[in-house]
Amino acid sequence: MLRQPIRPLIVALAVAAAPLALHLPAWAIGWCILCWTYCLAADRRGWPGLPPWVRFAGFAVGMLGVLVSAGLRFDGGDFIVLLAVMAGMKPLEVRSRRDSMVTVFLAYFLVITSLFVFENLSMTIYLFLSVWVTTGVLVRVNHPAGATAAQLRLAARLVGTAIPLMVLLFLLFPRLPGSFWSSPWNRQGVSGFSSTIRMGDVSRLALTDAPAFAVTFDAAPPRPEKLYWRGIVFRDFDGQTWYPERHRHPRRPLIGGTTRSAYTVVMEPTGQRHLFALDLPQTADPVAVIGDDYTLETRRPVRQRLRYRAVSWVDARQDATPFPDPRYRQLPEGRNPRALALGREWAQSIKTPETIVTAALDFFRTSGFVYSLQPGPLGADAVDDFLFMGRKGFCEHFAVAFTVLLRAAGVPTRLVGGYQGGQWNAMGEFLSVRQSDAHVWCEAWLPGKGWTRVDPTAVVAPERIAAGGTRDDPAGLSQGVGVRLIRRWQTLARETWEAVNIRWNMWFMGFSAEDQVALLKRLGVVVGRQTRWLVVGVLPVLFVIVLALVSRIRNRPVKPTGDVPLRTYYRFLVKMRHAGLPKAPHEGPLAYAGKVGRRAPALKPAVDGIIAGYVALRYSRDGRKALLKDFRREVRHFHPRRLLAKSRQKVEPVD
Amino acid sequence: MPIWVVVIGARTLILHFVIISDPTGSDTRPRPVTPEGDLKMTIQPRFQTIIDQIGRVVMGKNDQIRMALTCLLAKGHLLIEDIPGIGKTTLAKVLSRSMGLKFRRVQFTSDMLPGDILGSSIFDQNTAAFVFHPGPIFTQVLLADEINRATPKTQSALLEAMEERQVTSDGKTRRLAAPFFVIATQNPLELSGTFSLPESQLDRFLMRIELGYPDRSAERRLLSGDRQPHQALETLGQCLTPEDVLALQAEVEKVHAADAFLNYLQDVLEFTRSSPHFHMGLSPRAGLALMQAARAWALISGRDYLVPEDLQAVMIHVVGHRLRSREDLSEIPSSRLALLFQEVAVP
Repeated sequence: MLRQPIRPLIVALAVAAAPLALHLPAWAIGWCILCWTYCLAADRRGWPGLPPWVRFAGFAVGMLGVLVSAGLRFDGGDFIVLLAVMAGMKPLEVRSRRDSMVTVFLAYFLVITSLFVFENLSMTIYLFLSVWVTTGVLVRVNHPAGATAAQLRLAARLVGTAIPLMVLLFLLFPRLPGSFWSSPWNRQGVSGFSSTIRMGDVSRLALTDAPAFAVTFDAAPPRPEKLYWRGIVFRDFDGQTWYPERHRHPRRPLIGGTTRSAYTVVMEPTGQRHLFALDLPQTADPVAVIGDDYTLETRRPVRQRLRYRAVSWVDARQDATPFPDPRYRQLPEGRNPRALALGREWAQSIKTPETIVTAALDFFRTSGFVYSLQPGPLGADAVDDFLFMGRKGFCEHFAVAFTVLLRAAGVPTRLVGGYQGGQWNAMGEFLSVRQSDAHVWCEAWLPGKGWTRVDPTAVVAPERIAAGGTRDDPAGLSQGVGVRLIRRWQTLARETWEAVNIRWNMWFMGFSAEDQVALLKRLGVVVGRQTRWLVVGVLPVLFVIVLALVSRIRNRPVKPTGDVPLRTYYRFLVKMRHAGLPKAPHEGPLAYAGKVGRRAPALKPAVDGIIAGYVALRYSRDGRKALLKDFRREVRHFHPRRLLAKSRQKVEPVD
Repeated sequence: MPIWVVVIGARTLILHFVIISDPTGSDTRPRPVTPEGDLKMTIQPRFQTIIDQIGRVVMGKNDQIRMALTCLLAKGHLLIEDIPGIGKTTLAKVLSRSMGLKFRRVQFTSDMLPGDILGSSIFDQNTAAFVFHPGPIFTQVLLADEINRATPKTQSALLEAMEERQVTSDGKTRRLAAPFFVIATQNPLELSGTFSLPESQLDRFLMRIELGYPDRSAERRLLSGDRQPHQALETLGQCLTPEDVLALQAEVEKVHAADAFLNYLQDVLEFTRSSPHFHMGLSPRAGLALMQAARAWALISGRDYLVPEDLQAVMIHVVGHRLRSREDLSEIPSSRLALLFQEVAVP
């Protein structure tokens, strides 16, 4: 038996499993490295294979490890651990070519598993590479004689040939609507706004540079100071935490918008239901519902990257309707007495809500507040501590303190969480919004105007709003030309990479069932709700049938063409194949007869006769007609399986 | 007996070539040439006798003996590549003896000149004329020992004579003996002071074989045998006459190649030309060589037509020295070649 290519097999497994290592516990990684190192050493030194009981013990230990690390709940992540443990042990039992093939397919399966876990472009490119390497190893298993470079070239050709089919299947293979594939697998940490907010949450969030979402505008984007990305509206405050309103009411029409802006958002998973839209959204993609506070919500939490379209009116107001719920003026009793006192004082001295708002803003402007990501510690009466002692804070401190002051003065006020600004990527012409752009502002209800946006942070740190973020390092200007040039290049490279990524996410990762229906419609195929399910049900079945037919045709030992002796010979070979004695393509008839004689002596006389007839017809000087008749009759009456059954002999394994 | 002493002495005195004329040939009674039909009928048993007989002297090498016979019948020349002491010379001697062919052996050295092989004209003072003294090449079986020790000039003189089967000297062309079979040996190890044969010269050898170490039982028989190989050699009878050999060589030409076989041969040639594993594909001359060798093999196997197995049997030995790997232009080991040719399907 040929020696199996252990080293290439392990390379394929390692390349395919490497991305999963990010999600594996250390012991599983160590397990794989241990097993593979042993296999490599055994292969190099020619150690005999491990006895079955050792392999079984190893298997038991591995399974125990999986059970211990998984516990009672067995989710997608534990499945990956199980897969890795088995991938580690698989090369230990590779003996035959069949084992090698199974190992190669295990490597392909690891690649598929990675696709469930990762969605980004760089990983997709890596997985293509991994498929290429694995295919190279597949070529090696089947043609052990070739040189590695030639095998990899062939593998590249094979993968390249598959790309058109891949594109076709990507576009046309029925997709299931919703997030069927990805949700149970995804263990990636999600960051972003939660549905409640406490002092300090947003500043912690703003310390991370992770992307939140990216926006491409149909027309020119609004000016940076208009870029308020509305997420959640908070109404109830218990002194520590803010909560949004539970019930949603039908919304009222927008009025007085100046600029209409249509855009597409690609949002990173948050694990929450709220989406972000430019203040104020008018329509949004069907996945989301717009509430009466003009926030967007989906039916299911966003656990995978989501693409949606929305139309917003910048500078719009909501219809000024009856006075809002009294709970928009409620404050917890006995907390922050000094702030409450200040608010009440304003309520008595100043008459209209507009002037109260102005007074509050003046208070923030003139009392020496400092914008900082590292505010000092705050006590139980956090707002009091901030307003009258520390006066150092982040947007959330300003917004919360402002809301408390206004509510104390009797003006209905609410807190809005979202993002402000974003960085314009000139390369890809999109706006990249990061967690560091997280922002909290207020909305006050003014008679005749309704809910009006008030941003106290803009008063204290106007540059924060105008520049849209704090990332650009002004200190860079004082550095040398070289450093600046390098920075420019770095920025350019980052922007390019982000731009490519965003296109990838928009066009490939976000290609949903709805997009597919739209594409089919453009191609002239109208697919309704029922027919889509029909398509989802029927097309894969059809596809499998076609594949099976194709592979059946392809798997015939030889083409059914040629003259009569050849066709008769093929019929004989088919019978032999069904009897478990296939002829290898490179075997000549006499060598094949010899092999059959060794592996199944019961068939020897009949096979020798047929082969002799075939050789005489096909290769000797004069193939006679009478011979042909005999040959055909012999093949017709030849039933290898019956002969084998009668003789009670088994086909000997390959020698 | 003293002649064998000379032979052994010659093996040690590498710097001088020694010409030994075959002691046999005259003392054995040549058999009458068998009629053609009979020859055909008795080919296989007779070859089996030859192979068995040679196998008694060169033990455990039946495949290689068969291949050498094939090469002889195909009118080709044989290159044996192996380390010293493995039985190359014995094989050549036994082969020629069992067919009653004249045998000569030339030990190649670096100071040899073409005339040392082909012969040269020497002025005879008695007759006042140049008289041609034929060189060792004027024989039927020539063992060219360690051919890669000679300079390219000498090598090419020999190889040209091998191809043309004639020697031209002083404007006069002399034909070589009718069955003319060169067995050249070559040391595979890179040694200093050797001139390895270029591809174009290697091409003149129909086949290249390796003898390899004998297996354990064969070596045991050799070691425990009461007769030394050269003693056994002297007891060998003659199985064929030189005329038989000529008749058989003519018979090889008549072996039938059906379309199906030619398709397969062309597939093989095409494979070497299109496969990424080879530096260059096989030439048409190599194709003819394959055909010829396969025919001889078919004849030895007792058939007057070719089947794909004939080609497969001789393929590695015919193409092994004609193909190079694409990566580093090195020779491809025969095990890998065998695997590579499995990619060609038999129609």
